Amino acid sequence: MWATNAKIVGIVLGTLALYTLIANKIPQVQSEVPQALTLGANVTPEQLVAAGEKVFNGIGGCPTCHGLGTRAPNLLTDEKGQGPIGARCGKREPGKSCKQYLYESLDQPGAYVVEGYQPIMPVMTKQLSPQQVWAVIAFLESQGGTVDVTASDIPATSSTSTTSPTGGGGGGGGGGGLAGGSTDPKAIIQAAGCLACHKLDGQGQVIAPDLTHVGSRRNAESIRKKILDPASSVTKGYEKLAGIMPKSFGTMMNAAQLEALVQYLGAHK
Amino acid sequence: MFIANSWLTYMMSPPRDITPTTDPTTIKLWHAIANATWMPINVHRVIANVVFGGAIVGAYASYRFLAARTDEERAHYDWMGYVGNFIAMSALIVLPFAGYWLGREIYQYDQSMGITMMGGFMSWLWVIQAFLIAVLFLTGNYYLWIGMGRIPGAERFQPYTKYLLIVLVLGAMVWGTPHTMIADSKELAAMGGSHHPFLGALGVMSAKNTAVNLMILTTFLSFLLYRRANTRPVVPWARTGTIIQGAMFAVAAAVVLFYGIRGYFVEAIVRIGFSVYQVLAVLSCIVFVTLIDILMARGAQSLGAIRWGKMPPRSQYALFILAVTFTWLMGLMGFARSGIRQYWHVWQVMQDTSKYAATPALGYASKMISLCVLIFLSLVSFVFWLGGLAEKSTFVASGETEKGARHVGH
Repeated sequence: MWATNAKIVGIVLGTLALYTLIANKIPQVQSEVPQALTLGANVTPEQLVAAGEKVFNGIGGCPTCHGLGTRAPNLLTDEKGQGPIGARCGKREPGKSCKQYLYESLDQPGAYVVEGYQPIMPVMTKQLSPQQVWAVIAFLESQGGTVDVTASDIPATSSTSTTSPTGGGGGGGGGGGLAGGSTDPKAIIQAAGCLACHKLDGQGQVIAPDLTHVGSRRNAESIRKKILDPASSVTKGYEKLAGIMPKSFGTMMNAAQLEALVQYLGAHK
Repeated sequence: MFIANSWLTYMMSPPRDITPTTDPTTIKLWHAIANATWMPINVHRVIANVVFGGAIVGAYASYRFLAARTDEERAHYDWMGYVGNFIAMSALIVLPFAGYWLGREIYQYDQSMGITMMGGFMSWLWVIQAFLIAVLFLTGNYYLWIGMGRIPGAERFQPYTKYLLIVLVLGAMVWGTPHTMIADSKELAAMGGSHHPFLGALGVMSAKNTAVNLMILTTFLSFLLYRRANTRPVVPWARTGTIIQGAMFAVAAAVVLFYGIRGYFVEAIVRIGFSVYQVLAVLSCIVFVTLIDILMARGAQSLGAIRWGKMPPRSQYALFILAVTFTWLMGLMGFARSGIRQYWHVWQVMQDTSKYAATPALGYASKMISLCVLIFLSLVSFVFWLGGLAEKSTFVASGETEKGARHVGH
């Protein structure tokens, strides 16, 4: 009987050991929590690139899609004969430097969806701090290109929160709301990145409903509700995009900004 | 379990109208409970618990079989082990379909969560899962094939088992082929691309769905052969019925293969829909073939009684491997479900950025899973040992029982 017991224990332990061994032999990837990234005023390009690589492979989760050749363009390897991202980023949009193009791609991913891919990329400036964003840009530039990100690109007051930077060169949203608390609807729209998906007055993308005549189909109350709670209603024909619009705008704008935006959009009959 | 599922699924998929600024006191209880993944998880876990329960019963029976001192005891626990395995494998066959539903709901709720699950830092987990399920299918079938040795008439079907084995092994190899693995810049450079030029084509869902559906069909065929082993149908339409059954298998396999191949030539959103047709073909085959088999078995001529207890010990060790593997797989899938939230305590509503919130790599997780399985099996053994203390065996020697009696209670 002891022999039988020993065999059974051996089989159980052997099976467990086999599974554990296999699981330990494969590449080990741990999902990290967001961490503060402190870059001093004298940060060097090498330090930026090194920090950016960590963000790219870690909290940014970029290789999940970029690099597989199926979900999103390759960034670190060749993409359709154009080389890695650093070699092609300056040629993607006329008049835009590599740095500008990369920042806008992270801030408004819907603006530059490469042909053949779906607009599935989240707004990274909401998920990463400005320091992390600029470090990633430096890392991407280093992939076949020249790193020209400097400490001056990184806003001095940036934090590690997920608040959105203002348009262009970044900057903390802070408690005053988007665009430094401005109640100019156009500045709010620019800072919130609405045009990455919506079209308004001939500008922006047509991924989500055109807002040029939004006032003729929604009243102020409906627009306000849609901004605060995007899932509250879905425009006919856009059911597949339900859930895409971020539900964090309510936390990014102050009350005056929200009302200014609602009134502005409501006037677009 | 449904109650526990409600809060864990709320953490995964809180209703869309709940945002970081929502006042918790305004959230209705039922609204939070009935979230996107609650019912898929409920169904998945109910089926998985049937599988799990069957496997544990099988393992218990196998221990008692190995420890038995009389033929009657061996016969009883052989039968019990068979029933436990039958329950486990029957439920296992439908478990992947519940898994598809859950996966689809996760993708529909939040595509980035789905991508993290299937192609992000969790991607290697599915290769391990494929290996474990391959072990389950192969071990379950192996047990059935050994079991045919105690059934008079089964020798008619035994030559076919090698072909079934080939299908199962090929299916397991395809299912375990990696494709969209997460890789850093150095690994991508070492590979010379994003995936293997040939094997990468076998790593996509078209190939994997085809492989697993054919494995399910093969396992069902094993059951069917086992079930028919000691009978010979006498109904006048027996030959026609068998031909129809064979045709159903052929049609189901053809449908699975057709949509598997066609999946390479259509867009992802269309391809996902093809898995439904493949599943329906397999389930329809299982239902209708079983129905025909039940009707054909009416008044069937017996080729001899099953010789319960006449099983080699290796068959019983197979049952142990099944129980350990099922339990380990449960732990692994639990880690996957919980881990895809990453540093979100409640997905996109509440972050947990404490240093303890990092989701560990699979190696560390596997050690914890093995430890949990070991503790669980130790506790189960302890409970059975306690039960055994109070047991007063009423098994009596052969010849003293009534004819046909196999077991009397404890």
